[in-house]
Amino acid sequence: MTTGTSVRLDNASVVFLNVIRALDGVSLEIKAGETVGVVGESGSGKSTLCRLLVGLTLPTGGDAQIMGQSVKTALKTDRKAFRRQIQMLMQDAVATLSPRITIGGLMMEAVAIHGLDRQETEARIHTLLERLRLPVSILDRYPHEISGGQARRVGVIRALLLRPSVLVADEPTAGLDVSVQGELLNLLLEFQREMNLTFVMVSHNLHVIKRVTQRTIVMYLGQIVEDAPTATLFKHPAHPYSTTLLSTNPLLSAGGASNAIILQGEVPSNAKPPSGCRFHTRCPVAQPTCSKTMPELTRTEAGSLVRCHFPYSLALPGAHQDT
Amino acid sequence: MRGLSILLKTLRQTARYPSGAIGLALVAAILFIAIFAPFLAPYDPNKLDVINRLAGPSAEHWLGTDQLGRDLLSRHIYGTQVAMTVALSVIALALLIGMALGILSAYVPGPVERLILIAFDSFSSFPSVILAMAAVAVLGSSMPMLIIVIATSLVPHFGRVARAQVLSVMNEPFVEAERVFGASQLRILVFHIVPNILAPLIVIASLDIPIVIAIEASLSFLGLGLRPPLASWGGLLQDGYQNMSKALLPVLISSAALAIATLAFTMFGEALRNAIDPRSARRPD
Amino acid sequence: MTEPLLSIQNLRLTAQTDRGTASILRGIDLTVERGRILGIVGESGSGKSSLVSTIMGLLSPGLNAEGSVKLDGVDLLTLGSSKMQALRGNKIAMIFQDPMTALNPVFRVGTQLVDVVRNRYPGVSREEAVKRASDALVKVGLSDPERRMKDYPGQLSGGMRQRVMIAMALLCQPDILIADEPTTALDATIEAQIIDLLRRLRNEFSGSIIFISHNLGTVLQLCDEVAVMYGGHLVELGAVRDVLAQPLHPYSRALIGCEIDDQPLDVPLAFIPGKVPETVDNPPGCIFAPRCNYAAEVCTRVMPPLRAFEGQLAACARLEDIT
Repeated sequence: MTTGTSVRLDNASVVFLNVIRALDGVSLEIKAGETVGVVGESGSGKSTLCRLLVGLTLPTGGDAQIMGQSVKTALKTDRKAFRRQIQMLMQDAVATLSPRITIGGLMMEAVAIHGLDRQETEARIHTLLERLRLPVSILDRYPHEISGGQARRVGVIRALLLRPSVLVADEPTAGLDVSVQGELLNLLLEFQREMNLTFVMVSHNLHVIKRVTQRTIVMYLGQIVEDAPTATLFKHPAHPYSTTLLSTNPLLSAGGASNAIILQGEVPSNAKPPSGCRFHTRCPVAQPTCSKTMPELTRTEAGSLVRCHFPYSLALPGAHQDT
Repeated sequence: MRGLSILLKTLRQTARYPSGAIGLALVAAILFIAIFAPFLAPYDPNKLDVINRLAGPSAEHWLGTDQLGRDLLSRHIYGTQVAMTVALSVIALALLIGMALGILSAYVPGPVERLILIAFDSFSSFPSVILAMAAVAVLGSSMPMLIIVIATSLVPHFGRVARAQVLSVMNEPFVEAERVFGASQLRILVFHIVPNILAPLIVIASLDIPIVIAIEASLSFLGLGLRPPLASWGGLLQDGYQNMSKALLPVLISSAALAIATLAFTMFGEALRNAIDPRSARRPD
Repeated sequence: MTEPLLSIQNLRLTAQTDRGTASILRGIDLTVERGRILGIVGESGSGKSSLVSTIMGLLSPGLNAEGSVKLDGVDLLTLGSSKMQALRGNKIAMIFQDPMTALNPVFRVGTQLVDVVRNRYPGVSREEAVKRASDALVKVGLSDPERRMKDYPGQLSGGMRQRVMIAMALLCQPDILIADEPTTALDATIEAQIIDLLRRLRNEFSGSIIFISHNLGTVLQLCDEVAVMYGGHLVELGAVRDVLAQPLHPYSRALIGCEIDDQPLDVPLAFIPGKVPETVDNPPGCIFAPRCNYAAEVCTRVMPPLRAFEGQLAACARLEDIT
């Protein structure tokens, strides 16, 4: 086993129908116990990245490895062992619960599928119910009888029952009210620390990413455009796209001053990505060379990996600078 | 336990509208008559009484007798049993085979899928009565044969619906969630896909029962179905039709039996569909 | 000051359910002045969507509205459905979260825009209507309006559809424009474009805008006043800067406190413990008391009315004690 590395992507690509480049040559390494946020808009490939990690989508090029083993071979040789290593919280929590089975039945699938000890699992379910503030009576309910917030917690319990090493969460707070999202994130972080989980969290909410992750990966049109320690990224974004994203998320503390950088146009199609740098069609600081050659992911002095010919050329406007 | 409660709840919802309640009551009555035919029928349906041929209703024979003096009430009661036996066996058989083929075609893309779809298309391109007539003419007629022939003609119907259902359920997030959780393909099929495709199939099954009753009656009427002396509604109708000039009542009774049964199952089936899939229901105002 | 454009008085919305009478709105008093933008914030179950549906006259059958909703002195609750129908699209218009709910997929965008103009201003000629429609599309930032007019809604991206909806609102010049989470379904950079567009166009609207959002930052950027709703009550109302910077009501405080802060990773995130009240519950006291940090005996007796305090309005009995 490779020491310390739990997730590794090696030039991984996912191409649908030969033309749609959902993921294009993504390489990254995530250390065991690391908490990583992934941000990007639709078409950025962040959901495909999640699916690739848990083996719902196989790479059409390159390789994806979990705990030192290629996902492809792991699924062939010992599928169940692989599933126990990596679990995922999917976006639409209610829809991910099989509708005709009780919540208790769904949880006890851990025993039926993975041969876990029945008594021990039951005890663990009760402990987890208590920690996630779910009533024991929920075990007899059916998925359509519980709320969205409860469904999300049920998903968390199911994932944790298998004691995974890696937990992937696709928009874990989407659709939750602000007043409860903090509670769920606190719990996820508690479990992350206790179980030393490698935690990969996709979110469109930059505030959440900033608050709970150590490292942030920014994606655009199937590529990683910036990969940096979260604190660094939020203070000094290197890629103009990262800067733009940060500027569009008004914080209350900014006092309502609008410093949003307004991009022109919309995200191009994955089927026909622009030549050169994928972002040059919308980039406020694009130069002639940007449309010709695709920049490589390079390390800056601040320790960020950035895919830009002119990193730091677009500064965060006004109020954000001093926070 | 849970199955029972769902069944009761569904039946309660079925009976919410008058047509559903009437359908449900009639279906229950028909099934009761079919099951307890030997106890309900006053006479042996095949007992001849040549003296009392084509007699009108009387205290001994409430509905009169047929051209051989057999008690018409008893013959219709046994006819109900025959009709239900055929209808329910056909539906069960067609449902099972249709589901199996439908699921197979959805799961195994390529030659298997194409072969099954071609088979469905060719079978359903013949009207089922014609198909059944051809089969009976070639293979002879007996009750099991009749059941197999009619069931075959209905298989594509169930198969296509099962296939469409599987294809849509297969892409539901919960199926992917089960995969991520480690469930095997077989487990996903048995525990997570099949339970979620049953509802529409059951509705179709209940709506197909009147069709089967009608097909069986037509075949028997044409002499291609169940053979005399077995009391089947189609055969009874044929008997009555032959003697219509002498007595009108027998043909009317047989027609009424057929009409009530088809109507009852249609009303019940429609109400069941609305109970299971409320979107298809029109508001009762 | 003249009479307010929209004046809502003691609006109650109830429905009979299996579990008793459900109170969705529990007595709302609210006025909207001409030319203002009012933000409404609140979580799921707060009643903000129901409030909007009541104003639009789009209540589902079975719901019973009491009180009054006066637009220019006319009580909308007493208008028949045909008169209400005539009002919609003329004096009141709405932008939805999903524009496809309002755009007809089988008609071209141009046809629908021209219809709006000719419906609103029956005297306008066809050519003039087409010209106005095309001008409106330019105003909302859609280049090549001729081509867009020929497109069907399905051929446009989500951002473009929302722009078309705004163009419709511009053409129709309603007295009240209701925008229900118009940017929630959009990507961050597109959301920024739309918010920017709304800010720039606000002077083009002759009427008032009611803007519903769960994003307090966006409300702060766009609105003049903000109303905070909780459990079918209006709990605080005031100038947006005042309310968001110095909330009076404990619920507003808690809600704003749940906004993601700049604390380090190991500090837990804030949340509001407990559950939102159910519509069938009718507690005698303050609706927020069970979850309130400041609740005292006085709070369990009666729901306090909205009252003026330091230039804002808040429905709390203990304002003097807790500020």
